[in-house]
Amino acid sequence: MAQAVAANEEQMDRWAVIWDWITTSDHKKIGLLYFWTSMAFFFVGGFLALGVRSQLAVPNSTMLSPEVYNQFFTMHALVMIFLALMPMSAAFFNYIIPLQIGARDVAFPRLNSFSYWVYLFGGLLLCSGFLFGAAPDIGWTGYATLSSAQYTPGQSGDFYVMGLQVLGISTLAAGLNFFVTILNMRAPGMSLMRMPMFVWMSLITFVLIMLAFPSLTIALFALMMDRNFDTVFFSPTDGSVVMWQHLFWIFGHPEVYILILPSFGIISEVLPTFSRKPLFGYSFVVFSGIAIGFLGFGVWVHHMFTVGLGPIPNMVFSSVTMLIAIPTGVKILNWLATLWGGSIRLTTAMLFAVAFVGMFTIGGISGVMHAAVPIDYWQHDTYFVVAHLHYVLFGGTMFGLIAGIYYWFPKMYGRYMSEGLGRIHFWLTLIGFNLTFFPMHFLGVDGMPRRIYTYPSDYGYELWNMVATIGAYVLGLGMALMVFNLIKSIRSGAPAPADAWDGRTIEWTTTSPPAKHNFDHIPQIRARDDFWDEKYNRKEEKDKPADEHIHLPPGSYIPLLLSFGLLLMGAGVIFTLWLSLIGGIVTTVALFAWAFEPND
Amino acid sequence: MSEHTEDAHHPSDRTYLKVGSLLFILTAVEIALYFVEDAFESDWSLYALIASLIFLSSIKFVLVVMYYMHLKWDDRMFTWFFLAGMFMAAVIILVMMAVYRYY
Amino acid sequence: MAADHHAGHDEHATTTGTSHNKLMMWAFLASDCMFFGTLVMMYMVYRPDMAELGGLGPNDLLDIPFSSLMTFVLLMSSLAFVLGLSALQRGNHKGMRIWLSTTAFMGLLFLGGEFFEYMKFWDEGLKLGTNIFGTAYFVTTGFHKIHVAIGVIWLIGLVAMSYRGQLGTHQSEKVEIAGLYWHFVDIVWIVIFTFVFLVPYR
Repeated sequence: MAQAVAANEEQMDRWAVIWDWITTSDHKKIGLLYFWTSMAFFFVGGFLALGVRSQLAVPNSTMLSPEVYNQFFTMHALVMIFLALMPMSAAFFNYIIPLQIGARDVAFPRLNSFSYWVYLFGGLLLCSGFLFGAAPDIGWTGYATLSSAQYTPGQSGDFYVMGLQVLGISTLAAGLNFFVTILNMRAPGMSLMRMPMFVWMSLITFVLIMLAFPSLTIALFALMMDRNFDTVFFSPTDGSVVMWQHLFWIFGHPEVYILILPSFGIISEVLPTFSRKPLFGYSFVVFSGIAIGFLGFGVWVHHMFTVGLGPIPNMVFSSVTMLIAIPTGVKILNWLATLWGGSIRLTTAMLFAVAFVGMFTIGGISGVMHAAVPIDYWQHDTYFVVAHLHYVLFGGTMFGLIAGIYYWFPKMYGRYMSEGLGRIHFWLTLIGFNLTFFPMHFLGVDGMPRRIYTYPSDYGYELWNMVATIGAYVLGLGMALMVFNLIKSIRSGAPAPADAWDGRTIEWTTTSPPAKHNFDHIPQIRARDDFWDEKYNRKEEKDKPADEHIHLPPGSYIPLLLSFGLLLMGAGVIFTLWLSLIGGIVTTVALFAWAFEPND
Repeated sequence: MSEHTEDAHHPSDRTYLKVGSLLFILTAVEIALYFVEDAFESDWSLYALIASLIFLSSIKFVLVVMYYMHLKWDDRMFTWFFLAGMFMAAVIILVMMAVYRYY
Repeated sequence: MAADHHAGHDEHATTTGTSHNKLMMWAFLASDCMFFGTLVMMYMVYRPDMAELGGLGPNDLLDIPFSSLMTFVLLMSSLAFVLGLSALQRGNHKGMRIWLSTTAFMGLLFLGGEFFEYMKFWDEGLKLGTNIFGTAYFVTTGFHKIHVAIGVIWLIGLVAMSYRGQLGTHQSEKVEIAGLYWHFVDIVWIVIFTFVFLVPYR
């Protein structure tokens, strides 16, 4: 039925189109849903950031009250990390991974659609705190006992716990789904070491998700029990107040690699394409990625050096943290060597990818500084940390994602994005970004603590705060320009051919945008960078593919129903447990419907 | 997928029963040890008990995983998945116990 | 979610040669190791504080003989499960239904016994927030109980499918995957039984 519906897409009325998007299990449509939703949340987070920066522009400012300021910076972090950056990576996972491995869809299409709806509902649940005047105000880390019922009574803490819990389900489901997809649905001939680098880095990301998110789930579960059911996990007298920090950072440190690895993958696609050279040291990039992921689990205490765990834990975790610099450095040198001697085309995607390398290196180096315990004692909870994390999350992850947007937009919409606007966007972003965050290093070294809502006038913080605020507005302007460019290019961009950039990987062999079934024939992979190899190196004809039966999953509304049940269950813990009961019933019914729905 | 693997990949009911009896006996031994140790209540007996309990329950663990979950016959890849999860969990448990016990 | 029926289409051979569903289950189990690992970690960290809890600690409340009985029930349910799987693989549908029903019944027996034990603790004054033992014990074993309950529902679903003729011999992998989950829950109990119940609190 759904295939028939999709075939006549042009003739469908508006409601049928909406119904088609709601029930879709097409990875490309889900990818676009992820993309635009995360873009919307990115602007929510951006406005919150501008609020924070406006408040801090001048000393003793009274623009925002301390309470509202706390909500702003907390929600800025939560929205950016969980609702903007991770889902924007997920947009590329959804859209690009099946195309790059030569698959027609993901392993579990309905689970994929479920992940999206849970993400949307979880995001709305988290943000709806603002409607009740109770947005989370405890920092994105939500340290117990600050987040315990005693110190954060009322609903704001519950919005934090349940919002993140629901979002965690979405991430875990997506992570498992794509893990299976990458392992099991590669085109014939695509061995692990022939996979495109973006697929490799994503695969490592999914392993990290599978192993790190349980810790967050359990931590949030324990906090929920503490807040609502009187348990004493994080009680200072019976339990342990430091336990939350351990649990959170056991999740939290792998989480930062979950955020950055997809961008590593994206720029490892962009740099070779626009240098017309293969990625330098492919296997080094792969194995250093694995090493980063593995070591990422052994460093969580470096967020807790000032807790006072004693010299031995601090020393051990400090050493492991410094070790991570080695595989990261290997990658940076690989990217530089990829550029070396290449015939470089400085497209906007390439500009962002090159800027990524520089900005990420700055963030990486300030990160290694924190690995040294004495320096961390000095810099802990100052603006230096804020500078560091924005250099890796914005200068790293977001620059990589923007490079991905410019790079894959022609594949997604069949049109190029405007290069002229793109260049202005790039320079505004680069200048705005550095104006905003570089001065924060100075502020941090001068001792300005993070998360304060204002500061006195005679501490010498005025100049750099004002510079940072101006930078933030320049950055905001750059981002607004990107959206303008996106919308304008969808309407009237120059048409892009299938192989828009003289690409290297097989997503460029299919039409732009790809047909619903992605490939008319699943390609036979003969080499790493197979498409490039076929275009320039291969002598013989491509062998004739056999006729294939094309099987596409039908759409389903059950994922939406199931995620709605989960939303009710989560909201019930915040408002009244009756809602949870209803949610539980909806969830159970949906699960049975899911299991018995014929979907072949 | 399952047709051609009938004989080589699936143990017989006899094997299942043997493993089941072994699990039963090992658990009985564990419980017996617990009560024997209860009579001594000294430091050395505590350490001996903990050591033997860890040893015996690891055997039970491995038996179930290898025979009932078919890892002995199944794709080696699954063993690696499982080991990765177990390894991470074990490391985090041990590190956290050390952090809390000694500092 | 593991009940997604996409795998195993002969025309779409998978890269690794194993079905999506089975790969998914093993990946999920690797992830589940971390769920229980984190819970057991908390329990082990809090454990030294549990020795002296004024009449409401594990030394006063835990009933080893009764818990041992429950452990035997759960262990033997795993045996019943593999016998059911083996029956199905030989084409013995009736035997499979009997063994899987036995497994589900034993699971229910385990849940009932544990519920009885919860009530006993509760009556003696150990609530969720009484002390760290109440907190850690109820939440750790409770999380395991949720897993067992899901497993029982899954088993009942499989038996129902078999009665409706939707579970042919060639679909034995569906049972096998449910089995992976069931046995995993069993080995988690092996760990919990050892470290929560048997290792003395001193």
